[in-house]
Amino acid sequence: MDEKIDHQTILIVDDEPVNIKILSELLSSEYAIRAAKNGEKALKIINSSEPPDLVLLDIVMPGMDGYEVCKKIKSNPDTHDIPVIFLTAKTNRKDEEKCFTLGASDFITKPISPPIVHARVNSQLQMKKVRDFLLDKNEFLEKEVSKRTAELSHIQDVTIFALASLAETRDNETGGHIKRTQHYVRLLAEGLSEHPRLKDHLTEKIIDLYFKTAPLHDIGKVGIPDHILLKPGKLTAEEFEIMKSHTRIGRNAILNAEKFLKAPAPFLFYAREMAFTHHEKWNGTGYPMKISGDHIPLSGRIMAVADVYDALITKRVYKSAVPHDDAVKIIKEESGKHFDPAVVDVFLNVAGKFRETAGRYSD
Amino acid sequence: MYREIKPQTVLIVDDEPANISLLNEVLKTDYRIMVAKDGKRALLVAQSNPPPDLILLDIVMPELDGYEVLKRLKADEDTKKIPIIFVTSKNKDEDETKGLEMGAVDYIHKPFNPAVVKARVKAHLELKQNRDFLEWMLKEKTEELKKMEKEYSYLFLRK
Repeated sequence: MDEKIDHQTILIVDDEPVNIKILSELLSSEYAIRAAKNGEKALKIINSSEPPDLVLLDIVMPGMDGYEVCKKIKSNPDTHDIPVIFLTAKTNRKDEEKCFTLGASDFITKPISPPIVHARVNSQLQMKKVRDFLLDKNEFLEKEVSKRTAELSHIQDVTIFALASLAETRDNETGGHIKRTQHYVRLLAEGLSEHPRLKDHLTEKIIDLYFKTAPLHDIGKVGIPDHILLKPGKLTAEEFEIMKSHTRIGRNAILNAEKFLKAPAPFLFYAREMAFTHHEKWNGTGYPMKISGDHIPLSGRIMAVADVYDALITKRVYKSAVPHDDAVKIIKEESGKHFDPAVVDVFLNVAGKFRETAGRYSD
Repeated sequence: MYREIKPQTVLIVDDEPANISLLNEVLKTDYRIMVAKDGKRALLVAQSNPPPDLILLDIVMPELDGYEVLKRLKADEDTKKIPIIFVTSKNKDEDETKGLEMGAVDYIHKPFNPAVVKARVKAHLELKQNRDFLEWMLKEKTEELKKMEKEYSYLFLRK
């Protein structure tokens, strides 16, 4: 800000060289001074690439008078904001009023009084400085905030991915499952967003959040003991009960994070929904709540299809891989039973893209 | 960004009721007006909460004159930033130098020209408003950044 004070420039316009000299001596210690002896020269400087910060303008000049110069400055959008102070020997009320109606900021009566010149010039230049500073500063801060926002969003992505990978490492699966389910969720959500009942809810922003948070759906598995999580064979009824608790563990972990944040965080909200409800079934026979139909959050209904498809087509320690076509058939048969029929309809439409995605992110 | 815009307040100080009423007529449509008939009352009003945004101060008054009022306002941390415009019938250079050196921002001469009163008051109130806004905005943006920093710290090191 200080630099600007040093470089503020005043243009003095007067046809009398002696007036220019007096004003220039008065102001040159604080400001850069330029001078013009007539209106035409003044306008040339004002319209140049380095316009002055303030114009001190004599009214009575041969050729173009001060009023005319002021009119031209104020009618040009590029120069409109440059403050103009008139220098006038006339002191009647009509002339004073004319100065203001032409857009001048103030006037100084001749013979000039040095302290008044300083005071008026100073306050107009300060105004301009604050105005310019506000513009600069605002732009700078906006940029800074959006930079931080981008950084934050990136950190969110990385953090989610790191957490999800952790859960998966214990599960003996690879990063492929995370990537694939994430993309399946997007495919299904995009398809569903054309549904008239859902298009208001599934905005681009929400779909993005689904995509980002999908990797956290099995985060609760970190709380399942190894001998159950890594068991190569079928789980006993008792072990399966413990396995089911990964939905609650995941929900609670995310809920704690939300409490810590205090402010609502949409990305954690959907992560929690998915973690908690992706094993519910449309007919109410799933877990942990045994809720059915529309009581299951949409994100959970979508993740259910994505998760099962991926489990089917990949080989696990306790089972072999099912071919794509068979997986599609199984999911189709479960429409209205395990899965939301609307989600299955979309799945059948984009099944080809599921296959491509599976190929692209195969283990 | 939300900020309440309140009308700004001008305090008119003059021992002549006729002058007060003239200035009041010129300014009352754009600003909230407060008045004081002598220096003592002017100081009381200026030190109230919230203080006026600008003061039009007559110089020649019985007891506390305009210079004395200005001196006391400038000595008080709470009021020293209020812009003061001297209103005077004295028209000599020495007076202007003295007042401006003491910290007044400008002069308005009697008899008043309404256009001049409006322009000078407007200029200094705008300057003050811009400054206040700048301060407010910097505070607001700093808060915004602080909030974000907090989110960072949650993501990085959960304690």
